[in-house]
Amino acid sequence: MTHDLLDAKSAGAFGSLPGRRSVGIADARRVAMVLIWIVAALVGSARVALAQGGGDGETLFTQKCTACHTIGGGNLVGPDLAGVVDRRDPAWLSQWIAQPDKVLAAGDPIATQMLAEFNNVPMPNLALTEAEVSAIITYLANPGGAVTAPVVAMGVGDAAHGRALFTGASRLANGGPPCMSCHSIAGLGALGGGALGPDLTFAYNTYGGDAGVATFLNTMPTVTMNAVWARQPLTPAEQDDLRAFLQEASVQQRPPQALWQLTALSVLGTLLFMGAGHLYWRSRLGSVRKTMVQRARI
Amino acid sequence: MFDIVLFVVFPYVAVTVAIISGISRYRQNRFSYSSLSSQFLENRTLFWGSVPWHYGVITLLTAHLLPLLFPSLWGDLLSDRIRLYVLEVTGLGLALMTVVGMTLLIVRRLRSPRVLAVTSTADWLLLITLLTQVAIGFWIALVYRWGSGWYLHTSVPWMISLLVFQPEIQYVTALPWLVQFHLLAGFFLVLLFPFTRLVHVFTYPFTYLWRPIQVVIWNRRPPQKQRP
Amino acid sequence: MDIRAQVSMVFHLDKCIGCHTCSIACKNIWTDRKGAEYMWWNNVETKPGTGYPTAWEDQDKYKGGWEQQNGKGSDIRLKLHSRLGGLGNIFFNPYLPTVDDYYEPWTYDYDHLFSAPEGDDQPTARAISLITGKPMEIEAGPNWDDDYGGSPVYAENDPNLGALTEEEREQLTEMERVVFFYLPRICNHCLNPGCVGACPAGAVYKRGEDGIVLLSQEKCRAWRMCVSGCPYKKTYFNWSTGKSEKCILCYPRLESGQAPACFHSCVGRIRYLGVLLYDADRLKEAASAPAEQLVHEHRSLIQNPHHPLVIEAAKANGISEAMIQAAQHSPVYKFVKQWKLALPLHAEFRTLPMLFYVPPMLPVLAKIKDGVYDNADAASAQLGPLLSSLEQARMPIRYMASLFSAGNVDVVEDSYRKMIAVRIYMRAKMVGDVSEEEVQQALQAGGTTAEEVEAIVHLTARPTFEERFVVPPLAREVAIEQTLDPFTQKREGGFGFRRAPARGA
Repeated sequence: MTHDLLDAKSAGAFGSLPGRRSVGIADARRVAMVLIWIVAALVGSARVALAQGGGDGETLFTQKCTACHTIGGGNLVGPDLAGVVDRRDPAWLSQWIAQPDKVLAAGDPIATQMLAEFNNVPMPNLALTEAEVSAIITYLANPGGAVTAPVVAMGVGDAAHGRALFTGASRLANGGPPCMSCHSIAGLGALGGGALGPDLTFAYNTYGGDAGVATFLNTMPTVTMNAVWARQPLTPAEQDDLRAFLQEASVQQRPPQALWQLTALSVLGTLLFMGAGHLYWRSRLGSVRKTMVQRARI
Repeated sequence: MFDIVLFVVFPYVAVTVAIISGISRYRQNRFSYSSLSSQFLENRTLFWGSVPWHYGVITLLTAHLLPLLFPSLWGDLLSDRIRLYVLEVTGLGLALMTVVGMTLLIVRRLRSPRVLAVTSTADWLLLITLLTQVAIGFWIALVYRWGSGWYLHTSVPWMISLLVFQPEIQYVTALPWLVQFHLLAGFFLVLLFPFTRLVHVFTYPFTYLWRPIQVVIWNRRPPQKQRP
Repeated sequence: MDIRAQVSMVFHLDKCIGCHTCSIACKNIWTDRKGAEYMWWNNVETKPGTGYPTAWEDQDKYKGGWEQQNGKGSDIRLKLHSRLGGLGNIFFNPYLPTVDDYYEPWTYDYDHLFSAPEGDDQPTARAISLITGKPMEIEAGPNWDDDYGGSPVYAENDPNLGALTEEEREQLTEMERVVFFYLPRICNHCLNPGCVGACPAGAVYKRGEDGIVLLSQEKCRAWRMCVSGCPYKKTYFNWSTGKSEKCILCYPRLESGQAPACFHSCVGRIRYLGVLLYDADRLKEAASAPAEQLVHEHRSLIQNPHHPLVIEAAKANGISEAMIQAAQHSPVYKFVKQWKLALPLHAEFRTLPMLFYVPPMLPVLAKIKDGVYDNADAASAQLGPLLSSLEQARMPIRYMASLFSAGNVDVVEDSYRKMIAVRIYMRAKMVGDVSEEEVQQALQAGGTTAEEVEAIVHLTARPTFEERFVVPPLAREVAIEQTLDPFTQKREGGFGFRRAPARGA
């Protein structure tokens, strides 16, 4: 009922609009729709570059798998893959290589057992296409020789310089980010390192020592790492230095996270900023009339 | 495939619709371009909501924009650990302040009957989306730090790849889902622009800094002295 | 000389009876819409009183109008903000009056009177807020302190009382000495509007041809700075559409030769409308003058429409012959420039308002001595009880000076002495109980002549409709909208809208 009272008022001076229809938002929306579908079609067919993929099974295996696996060179981060196509059911293997995270999450017994066996380091999802998985399996069936770690040449690294590269004090030659942006290590820094990627304090041990780490830093197989480093790779000298630093860091303590300090700092920052605002605008009006009336009533 | 829809198709659709609808609304219904200020109806809580919200979100959006425009400068800025910490802690303070501001704005809108009376569905959708977005942004900055560093090498290359019509989604497909949600919600906000009061962002009156302070408009040819 | 024409106004406060017909006329035409219910583009205040919105005259609070740059002359700046400061305060205007400073508009639940169930008590119609649609407590209205209502709370806080001594302030509240008058106000369509200067979007503008200040509904972005920028608080924020609105001086009526609605409907016939020609070259100089000289400088801007040089300069600026003739017949010119009776309201705001007030003479100071009326200091020895002296005026002269002459008592006194001369002259003429000598004294004290007094009396007491409203032909044939098919405009939203204005997208 009160609704009616208010509605009667809103008709007011401007009235209604009969008759002639002008170009309005409805038309614009229609145009937008058409354009959307055009754009979507164009975009859908556009070349969408995924990982530096494509290519034959051997290249793929070298780029994607050698950081953690050998063929006949013994266990590294993950199992030795010599004869794996005979050991495992082809369908399972195909599914496993494509989406190891899903298979493990589903509670697969083989996956669960392997996880325990290999230091609780799960196999990462490398976003491989169906074609790439096939190519790798074909190669694994017939590798044509052993593949041992490391697949790259290793030099002697300077751990101190590696630390500088890690924190960004020394810039990387090809323009890549300091590792600290995403990774923490051995309590480095008053507020720690990054937390997007895993903590790397014990990565040297967990990821296959010299051989595994050297290969990883060279091939960067995981999806995000590959995206970040594909176009701005570490130089061989930088790889050596970082590897040396990782080895050195792996014997150090890992302190607690800086989360509570940061939360406290956020709260402090908020209070400071808002307090500053209150001070700057302290002469702002409240309600002139109400204050005046209240004062008179006292 | 789904990744392509999310990280290629959706951003293009959002930007295209936003631009076309925004221009169309400006031409056909310019009257509706308004910031719809409700300060007249309630001003006490609004101060604690609007000022922290706006100053916070504008600074943070600028901090998101600068790496996009000046990536190498930004990289140089962050190469020093102390500078990284100072930037991040400042950002965290601003982010929490922004979340507090928006929360207060929403609470005020619910508790003040006058302000509630002038709130539309589009307003609620916008407010909830904005609060979610800044809250998640704050959470990301806290839990997946240091965002200012990795943003430059993941989200920025992805957005640039979209800008040059050579989409490369590998930069973002393996990021934590909360980060992906933040990216997509950002484009959702772009999509919402022309259909909500968000258009007031594009009407910020920069020209006030240099226009003649008095405005006289002549219907006929103005007198000699008034002509430019 | 950069001669411009301006449609200007005079309100004769001695004639205002405070009937508020003007307010209703405007309300029924322009502000009976959603979002505009609380707006009174024309409002009538009781002075002493805090007005509408409450204490609007206190610019220390509301930061309206202009002030001298660094306390010195030569330039002025907005009190509200600098350009950069304005952009920084755009998220929250620290000096914005809220709806509580005006009033929350309401209606009554009339239906309840018809539909209430049978009961022991008579049904009443509750007040329902027009903003929320819910029942509300009425706390204020647009003329809450009308006729001195609630004066211990409201009138006591009149900002102009600061110009009085403690004794004078006390006197005003004594029951036997209570005095008030009405101050009807509309937008002054200033020469240096604060609202125009304060708007960041540039939505408020002054029309060059006639000086009417308007607010573009398409450019306004609800930054709500104009509300603070205007020291008279004559821009209003429409809380529903998210746009600000203001008095438009009924320009559609003016453009068809009619006086504005509030002028036309005025019962007391206090309002005069006419064209003034002014020199725009000297605007800044006039607005930055020291306070005591502001009224004088403002007057000096106004040019004599009969002077050949002025006419020449006006024509050079494209002002039409008809406009110049309207200026020559303008009643406003007579009151403001010729007779110097009408004064601008609060010239110290430095906006150069073009609405001038003839200050009210107000009643006699009643003093009883030995049971008899005694007024030894009367303005006229022979008229003793009927005409108090200026010094004994019931409303202290400094109060009037605070309102009408930026504190300069001499200026207000000159106006009053002339009005006293008019009264004494007319008393002599009509009743005959004043001596010729005294009439001459009064004329001299008032700086006037018999001829001028006759002219003043005619225009004050016996003007015809055409003498009061000299509406110039605002020839808008060159306006682009005139070329549009009038039937198109009829079916559209009116006044340039192609779709009904609605809030948001």
